[in-house]
Amino acid sequence: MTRDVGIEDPARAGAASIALVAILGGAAVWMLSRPAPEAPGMSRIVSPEILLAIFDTVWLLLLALPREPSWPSAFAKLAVGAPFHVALAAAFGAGPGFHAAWAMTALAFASVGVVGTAVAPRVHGLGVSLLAVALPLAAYAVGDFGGADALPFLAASPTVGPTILARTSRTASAADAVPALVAAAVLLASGLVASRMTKDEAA
Amino acid sequence: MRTLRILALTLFAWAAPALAAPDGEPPRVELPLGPYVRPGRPLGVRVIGGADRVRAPGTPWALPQGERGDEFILQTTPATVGVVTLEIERGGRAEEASVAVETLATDGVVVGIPAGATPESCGVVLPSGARVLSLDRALLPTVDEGWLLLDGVAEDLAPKSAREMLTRLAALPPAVRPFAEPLLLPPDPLPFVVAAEAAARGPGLPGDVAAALGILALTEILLVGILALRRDRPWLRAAWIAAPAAAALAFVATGDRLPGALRADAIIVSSGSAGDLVLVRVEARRAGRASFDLPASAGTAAVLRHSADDATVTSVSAGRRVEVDLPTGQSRLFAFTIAPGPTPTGEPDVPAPPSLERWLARLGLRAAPHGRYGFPPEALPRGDGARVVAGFRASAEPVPPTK
Repeated sequence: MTRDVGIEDPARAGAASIALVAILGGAAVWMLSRPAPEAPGMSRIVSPEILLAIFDTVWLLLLALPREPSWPSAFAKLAVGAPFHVALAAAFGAGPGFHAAWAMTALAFASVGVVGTAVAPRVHGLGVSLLAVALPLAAYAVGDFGGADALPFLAASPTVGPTILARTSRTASAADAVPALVAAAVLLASGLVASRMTKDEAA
Repeated sequence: MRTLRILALTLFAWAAPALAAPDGEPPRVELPLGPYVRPGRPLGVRVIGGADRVRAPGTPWALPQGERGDEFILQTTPATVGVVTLEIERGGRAEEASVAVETLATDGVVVGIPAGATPESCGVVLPSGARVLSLDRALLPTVDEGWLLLDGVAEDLAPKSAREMLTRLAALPPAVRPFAEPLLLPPDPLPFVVAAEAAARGPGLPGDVAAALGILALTEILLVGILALRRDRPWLRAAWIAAPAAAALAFVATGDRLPGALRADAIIVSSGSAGDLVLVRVEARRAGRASFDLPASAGTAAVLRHSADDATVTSVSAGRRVEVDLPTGQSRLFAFTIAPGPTPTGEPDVPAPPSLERWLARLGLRAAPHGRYGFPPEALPRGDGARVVAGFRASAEPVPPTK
């Protein structure tokens, strides 16, 4: 029933995501406006760097994995997250290069999320899962055991990339978005190919 | 006739700086209290014709102050003895001037009286061993901190505010005086530790930004709920949701509301008789520059030194405003006193930074174990290029003398 409503009115399908972005952003900003907790561990968790990484990761996954393909919903999610993202990044001292890299990453994954979910939802879901879980695990293994430079592969993952970008946000440049943009392009291409193959089979 | 007068005045105004500082000639410098320095005490200097900023070697730049804008309060080092060489910036040019000075004793008492008068005729009671300086009325400082070379002054010589400042300092135990007048603070790493600890535990975002974004979060949740009950077109729903977010983004991203490349955290230590001391730590997360206008009730800002040979202060300019230009990863600390504000209500509940107690003990003060975060905006300097976040507010009281 809920799914039917979502199909009829796609903007409503993004409501939960928008509420989640607002709640998470509001909570992060509220925590940052308070004195840091006494306990060192807790103090680290509510540091601007960690809160920025958590918020950006959740925001990016919600953009990349919409329940229903809808441009208005993607636009609303981007708009609602932006002020919180800007404030959290400023609290950590992020530079303009970070904002440029992040804007490109978020727009790319939001676009791929809408198109991929519309043309080949299963392939898109599988692709995002691979990027989010399998890619960082493989990159970690290759980097740790093989001694290879795994950073670009980690930066391409929507689960790990935002953390890397947040950590380097003071010195980041627009070029730091390249791994994520490549990942988004691969995701888009695989969705389009899968859609074409499905159509061919049906024909 | 009127046109001629205007023309003559214009020509004079155009030529005045050149007359005051002809090319090739060293700038003329006067010491309002005479050719004396006292280690650890600020030195008032007047540059005839004015200057952009002045410094002694190894000290911060002093910005112009005073009635004519030609007085500079220099922070000295123990090496400022014998001949003081001043670096003077005027109209983008760096020049040098040297003044021969006599070094006065750091301890002891120095009193100023009018030239030609005697201490008795001025009604000044001198302690034994006091040094008397005869001061030329035509040269006297117009900035209160310019009198800090002295411990006392004849009644009709200095303005009331300067006399009150010297009387207040004289009434305090010697250890407490630097707290009441930060230009007297000796080089010390502890205030840097205090400020860093307080900044690390302080809020990362200003209260108004957090309030605006908190309202945005509630508005968005409310909108999502309301729109779920309506059957609007998708783009109309998106516009309803995006409008408050766009307004909030415009609010937080403009007007220097967010911390930027430079982060500035202020802490305040209130001590009834010794006044309220504000420490401002400016940290460069990225390279940047900023300036800070002190509150109306503040005196001249003091740039604090980590150690006696701390040369990093030479990149800071200080006066009634402070200008910093910082490379990535560095920080600077400046301090000033303000008129005591109202006592905050409610019990202080945040433990004081561990190093605060040690630092204040060196200054003859006992720190209260708890304080609070946030203090009135009137106590904060107004930043341009870096917003100052109100940080820890501590209180202290002078340690009673032991019998």
